[in-house]
Amino acid sequence: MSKLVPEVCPFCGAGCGIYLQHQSQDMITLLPSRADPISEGRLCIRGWHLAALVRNSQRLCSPLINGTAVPWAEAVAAATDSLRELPANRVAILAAGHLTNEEAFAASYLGRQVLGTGHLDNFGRMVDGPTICGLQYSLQQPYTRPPLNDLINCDLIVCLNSNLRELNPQAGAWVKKAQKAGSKLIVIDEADDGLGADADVYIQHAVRARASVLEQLSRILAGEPELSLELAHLGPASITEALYQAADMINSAARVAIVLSARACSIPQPAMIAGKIAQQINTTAPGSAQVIAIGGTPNCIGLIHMGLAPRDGNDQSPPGLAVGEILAHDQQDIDGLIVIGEELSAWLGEAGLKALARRLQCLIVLDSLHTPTTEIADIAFPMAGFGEKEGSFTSLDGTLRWSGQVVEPVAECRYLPQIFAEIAGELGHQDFPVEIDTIWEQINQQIPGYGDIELADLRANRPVRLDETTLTQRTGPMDQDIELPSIETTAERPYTLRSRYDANWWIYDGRVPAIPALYREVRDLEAGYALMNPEDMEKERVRPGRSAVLQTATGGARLLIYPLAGIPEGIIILPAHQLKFLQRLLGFGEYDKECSAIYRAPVAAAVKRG
Amino acid sequence: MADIRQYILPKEKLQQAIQRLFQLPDEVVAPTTAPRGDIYFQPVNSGAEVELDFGNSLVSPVQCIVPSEEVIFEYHQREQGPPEIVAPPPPAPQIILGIRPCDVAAIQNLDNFFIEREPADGLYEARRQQTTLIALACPEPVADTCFCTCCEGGGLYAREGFDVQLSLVEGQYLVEVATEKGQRICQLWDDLLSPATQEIVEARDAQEKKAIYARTGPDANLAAAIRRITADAVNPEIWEAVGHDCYSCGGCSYLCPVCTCYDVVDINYDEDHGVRVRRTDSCRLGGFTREASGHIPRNTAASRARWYAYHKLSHDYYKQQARYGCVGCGRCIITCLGDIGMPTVCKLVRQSEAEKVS
Repeated sequence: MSKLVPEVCPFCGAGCGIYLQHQSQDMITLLPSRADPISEGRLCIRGWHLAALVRNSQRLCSPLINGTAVPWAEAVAAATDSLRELPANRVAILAAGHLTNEEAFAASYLGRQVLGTGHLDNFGRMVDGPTICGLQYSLQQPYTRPPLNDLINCDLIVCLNSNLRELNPQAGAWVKKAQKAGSKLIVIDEADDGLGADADVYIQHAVRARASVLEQLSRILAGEPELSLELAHLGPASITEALYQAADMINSAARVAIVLSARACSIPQPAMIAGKIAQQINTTAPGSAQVIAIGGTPNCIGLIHMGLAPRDGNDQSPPGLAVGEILAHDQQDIDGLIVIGEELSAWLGEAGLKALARRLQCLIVLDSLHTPTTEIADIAFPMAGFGEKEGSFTSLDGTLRWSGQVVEPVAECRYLPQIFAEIAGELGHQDFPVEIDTIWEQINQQIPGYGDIELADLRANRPVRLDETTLTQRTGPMDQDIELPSIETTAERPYTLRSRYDANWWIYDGRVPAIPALYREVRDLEAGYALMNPEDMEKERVRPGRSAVLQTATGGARLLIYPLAGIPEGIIILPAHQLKFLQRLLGFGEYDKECSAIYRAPVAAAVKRG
Repeated sequence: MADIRQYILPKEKLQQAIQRLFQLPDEVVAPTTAPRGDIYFQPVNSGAEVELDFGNSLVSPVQCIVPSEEVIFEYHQREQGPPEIVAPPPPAPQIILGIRPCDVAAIQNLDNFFIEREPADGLYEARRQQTTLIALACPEPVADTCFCTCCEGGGLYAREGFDVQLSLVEGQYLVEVATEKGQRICQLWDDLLSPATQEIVEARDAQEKKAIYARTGPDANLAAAIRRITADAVNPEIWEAVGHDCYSCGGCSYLCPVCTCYDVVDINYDEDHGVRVRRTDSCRLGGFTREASGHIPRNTAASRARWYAYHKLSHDYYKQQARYGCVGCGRCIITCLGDIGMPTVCKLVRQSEAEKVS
């Protein structure tokens, strides 16, 4: 029996502390930790079954070439042969959000130093990016989440996800604890998935009108004129009255927490306005309001710090495509793709995954489990999974937490940097960092904000916080006027509608570390607007209101093209329900109810009073 | 009670007594401090590692007898013929030092379930036979979540089920030896012990009574809940309310020292080699009752919460097990995400209108 090894649950961003223990005959036992300040001995169903993740029949145990098990040397040779044939800028690396910082550093090192590509990204940004990005925009600084247990000190909680108990059960438990300790609860959501019934005030609004409701609340709190929105877009006529009641509760509360689950927000607006509301409250009573955004992945921030995100090309590293672009069904610029620990069919669907494999010359997958992605890969490598490696996660609360190794990797599985080192060695790079100590020497030297972090402190489970000052400098100026980025165009098809959604949205201007990719939204987009520069419209002979079809991963979205002054070049695609707010927030024009529509029928709205 | 021999061990000699346990070939499992400060029962190599000044461990030492995951057998496919089946090695003898009375009571439940019923469970029986229990009585409820005194036969010290029990009374330990396995320990401590006086035994009882009257922990009043559940006179809305708060995480049953549900799975390490494993399962999970057709009879958290409470507290269970299914350890209170541990459920049941449910 091994010693108890402290771990951090890798399933979401809450960061519950647990222990793993290696029993006899390769059995792994999980023990919850009551001393852990976040979990206090509680775990969700996923956490309780974490030990089964270490040893199970789904583990990928040997390297595969086209689904057939092969010796390691053969797989490494095949991978290096494929990579050698491809130009550097036509290879991309996509990583899952649960990689440790050390693995992410190695992946980034492989991409930037060995392969010479800038097309690196992680799926944590897909999940948490919009929320973090929205908060950073409104707070004008890198977002640092207060610890979850801070909720107990708040006398009012405004929760934007009624299904918080499913998305982030530990956060749901803290809300419940806070209520028991006397906190009031306001829930704002389009449907009640549990928490609404427990709320003192539950404001149910129309589908996808959350940003509108929050903006209305923000205006009421600021004493500004209310939005002249159709109330049907928010809910019943009494919703404004309910918002006044919520505003009264906020104004009379000493400490307010606005809670939202990043996993539920595929657009930045809710977080952005939540941040704005917190700032409004803090203006009158400094330090009395905070936004607690719970990430959906354990290490989305750390992966970005380690370089697993595309850069804009200003820092001497090549510019890169974002995850949504790399996976776009008509992407012609990527021929080789390395996927680490992510199951792509969850994003692309089965057909999309097959289409991706057909489009690529080489798909290399590294995973600890057998998945549809490893089945379809040209080459698949078995990598060490949770509990079989040690490493750190960077939490949204600005702390680094260490997960230890409890057991040796099963069968032929290997530690990710070790696999990369073998590939790099074949490609002529013999000094690839493999050992944790070597990796941390380089992290200390190269990653801003991580310079003073001692590996020994991490391993000893001492509290380690990031140097936020350095990180603030790294993210670049946040207070400049926002400029809309231009879109790459080609002479033949100047306005080809592509799912370059993230690059064209005004907030995704490349100056914040968590550039979100809204692939998740765009692939399901049904209807929206295309906004063009009026001069370009005239040049292209496009009439206002003309319809177009945007090709998405799952089909086509119906678009109406409208002129929008201020765009230097190109087209902005907006989903139908976003237009009114983007227009108003951008100052491009007043809300015009004629040009906005909710493309899904709203549910019957209701307001519950406490 | 008649067979229990009682001695006194001076408090300052406890460490010496513990150290002598290591003279035996048994593995000593005792409460120790984990890296984050948690207390868990773990194998120790010296008395210095033992932490007896603790509330109770979040994970019951019952897991030393019924691990949350254990190998039933290992199999190797041969080129010809049936696969080779390799049984796990026989369990080594172990001493569980510092086990609380609630967990001793839980082991009696498990003995009833795994050994007394036919056929006996070989894995459990073998490990149980190799286990010596040195219980540590509670001078008072050791945590604000304890409610053992509300449970049947519960109390701050164990009346039966232990091999040796240590009760701290007036600055010295009352040592009770109940079994032959306990006598083996007693022989190790021979020169450290002196016969107990009637006064110290009475002082222990008085100490327990005083602590029970003074206690401020959760008031489960299991007897009243048992009566109402046995009569099936619980308003069904109670279960809807409990189901609403239940996250279906399974934590209550995973940490419950009395729960016995398990699942059997095969883990294939490769095409030729694997293990058949018994894993703790939970009736609070949606898939627990899934049938081959895909139908799930208890498909709501409310129905599972009702089942859980009825199984533990109804007299039908008592008839099978000769005990009720809750020992008042309070772990379900600590681990519940929805704050609906057993005392909360019992309180709701007690307060529910007497309404016969067909």
